[in-house]
Amino acid sequence: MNQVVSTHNLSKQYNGKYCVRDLNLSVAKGEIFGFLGPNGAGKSTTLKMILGLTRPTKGFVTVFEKGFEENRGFILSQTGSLIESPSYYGHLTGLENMRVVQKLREVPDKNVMQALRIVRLEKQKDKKVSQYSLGMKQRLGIAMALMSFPKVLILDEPTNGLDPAGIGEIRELIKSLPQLHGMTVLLSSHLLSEIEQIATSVGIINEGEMLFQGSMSELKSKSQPTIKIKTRNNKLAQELLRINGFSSIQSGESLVFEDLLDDEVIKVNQSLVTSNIDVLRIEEHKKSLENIFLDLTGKEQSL
Amino acid sequence: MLIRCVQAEFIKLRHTRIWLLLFILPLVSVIIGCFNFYMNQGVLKKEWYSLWSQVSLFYGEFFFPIFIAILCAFLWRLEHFNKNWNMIMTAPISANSIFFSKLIVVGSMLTFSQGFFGLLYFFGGKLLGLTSALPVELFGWLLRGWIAALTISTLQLALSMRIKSFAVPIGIGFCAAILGLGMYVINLGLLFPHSLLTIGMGILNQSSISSLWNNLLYYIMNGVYIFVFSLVAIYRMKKSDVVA
Amino acid sequence: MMRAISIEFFKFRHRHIYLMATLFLLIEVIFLFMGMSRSISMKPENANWEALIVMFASMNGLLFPILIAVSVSRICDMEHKGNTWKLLLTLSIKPGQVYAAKYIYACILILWVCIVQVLSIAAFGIVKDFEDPLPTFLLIRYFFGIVFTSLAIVALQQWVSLMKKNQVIALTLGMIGGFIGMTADLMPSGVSRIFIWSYYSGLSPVSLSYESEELDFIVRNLNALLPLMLIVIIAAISIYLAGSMHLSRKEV
Repeated sequence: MNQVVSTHNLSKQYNGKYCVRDLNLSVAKGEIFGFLGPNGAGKSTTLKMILGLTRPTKGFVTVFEKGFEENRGFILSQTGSLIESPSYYGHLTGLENMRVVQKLREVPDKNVMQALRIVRLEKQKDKKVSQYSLGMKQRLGIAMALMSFPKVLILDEPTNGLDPAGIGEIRELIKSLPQLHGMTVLLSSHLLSEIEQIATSVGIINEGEMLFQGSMSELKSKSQPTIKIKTRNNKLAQELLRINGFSSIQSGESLVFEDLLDDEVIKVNQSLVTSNIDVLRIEEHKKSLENIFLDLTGKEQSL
Repeated sequence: MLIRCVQAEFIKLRHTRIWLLLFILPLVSVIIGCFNFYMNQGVLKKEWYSLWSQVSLFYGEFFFPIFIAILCAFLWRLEHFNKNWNMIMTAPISANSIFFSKLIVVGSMLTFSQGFFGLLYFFGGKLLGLTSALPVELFGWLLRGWIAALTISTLQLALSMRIKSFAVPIGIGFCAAILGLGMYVINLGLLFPHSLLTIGMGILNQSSISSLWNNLLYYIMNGVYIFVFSLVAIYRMKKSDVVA
Repeated sequence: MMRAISIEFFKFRHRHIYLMATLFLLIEVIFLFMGMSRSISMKPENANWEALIVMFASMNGLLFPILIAVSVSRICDMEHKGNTWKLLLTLSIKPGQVYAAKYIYACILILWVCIVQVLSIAAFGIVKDFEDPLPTFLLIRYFFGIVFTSLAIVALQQWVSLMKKNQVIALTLGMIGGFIGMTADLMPSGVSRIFIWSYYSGLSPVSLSYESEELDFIVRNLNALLPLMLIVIIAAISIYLAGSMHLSRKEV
């Protein structure tokens, strides 16, 4: 039972327009899966379809390799979630809100206090939620999602409304969940930096379609630095180096090499110099995750 | 599962003063009814029966339906705010439990208000110096009224679940109450939820349900309505997307 | 100011509030016409304008408070739902203006309802071939009676609906208002005149007399009604001002 959550050609149409299209997402056990995309890319809609809040126009969802429709009760009992913005009854205190969820999910008393402690709301638990700040409401929402210590945790923009200290705290909390409680976490964000710091796997979605899915290291490998070498005779240099076993591509007035170790750079340089090819520049270029993301989504505007 | 849902519903009602309504409405109705009875003793000669016609008239005909509509709208309003639909629909709870837990809460509130209304009627009558025995039908009026009230509650819960506005379902409920009176007058009362209340509580005719057959028919009609309304509501809840 | 009102109209583009209020009224009209037709078929001399007006006036006492409570709650509740009251106040519109715009919007709606009602009364009489000609003056008096009373009740409901987020309170008030409006005729006039809702039947140009065995319709003297009308207008203005000032000062 490796695949905890997976979607199969999941699609959702609103007024004839696809909001999510043929999405095949799969989250393995123990992962922290970061679901990344700009606002309006279809993240929330996808998460809502996974939880059965929205019905797919086409395709289906499986959780623990079971179809959602037939196993709704079982799946939801193993799932904790925070979708869109936190749900709460404003006229009740934080603790009473927790009690409502406790009744609905049938969890023991100690979980309630433990969840409140984890999100650091124990001191404010007797205050009415309508008087909570946005960040406190967000913490309460996370506490409600955590309360049953579910096998799967689905969080939509979990750090919304939190201050920097709070963001760090929640990030550490989420990172600890797979080891401490054996949870699998699926979280969405429009902030690359955030996903980069938390997730072990990433899915990048834009305009309803999945652009990339894989482990974080796979994504990062796309950002390996490249070495650019500019010589007086690039053509000759490329030919020579190819014979020596270094393939490159011509880009502008330089030759671009991927995955070159320092020793290899020395070798390349030496062989060029001994062949009397003048080397003008050797530069290292780092491709940031940001750039990869922009390449993938083709979007220049803020995310 | 249903029991836990009902408990959750009662937690949600903490700090709300909705309970006050349960007192106010029967009290106002009985006071006005008694006053009216007192002023018109010349015409109203049938003691307890006449008093019942007075206290139940405004209560049962218009204000009880509106009161039910307010209760139902209030219970759903809690969910329409602050994305709470997301919370209840991602809990491992069936749509049946969600709907029926609300119906049970409304039902228990109505039990209370009916009981209180009966009690006030008794004390009001005593205060007015009625000496004869209480009508034997009293319990039947209250019980059948309660059942018709449940029927109306199912309708109102279904409306308020779908319509996010608080006031609109109440307006619809009020129009339905007037329609119900019309249906009753043209003798189609058994076909309309709000007229069932008029018949059941013996508002306009204190002896309208006599035969066993009529009695049975009355319960069957209520049962059919409750079944149909809940079925439609639960089906909608299961089939439509949650827009919180 | 015109901008504030047009914003109100804009906000309700998709809300069918006119449709709702009109349907509400149609139910009343159909109900009373049915009743009237029955009473005419039993007793042909009942076919007169006075009887028709009395029936409407007493039904209005029940219907209007509830119709107004529902409509005004709907107009005001949307600000609570989206927390848009704050937004409006940051748009350089004064709270007093927002309050006035909502009031005017609600009043135009109620005015529409009143016009439709009076026109349907006239239409019914003409269709049913009443002996007397159309009592234009009587209907105009009737019209102003319901309009003025409604203006005061709209002001009251708006105050409560905006002050308390919990609309249960506003609607319960409307319900109790309807209760009082309907039973106002049964109370001693000294008591009933305290309640604003009693003026629907109180300002009706025709009243019922229970004095004799037969029901008598009495056309009230205009001079006797003018002071009452004045009271209602003063009440409307003072409730409006009180509500507007109270909510403008309230911290958001």
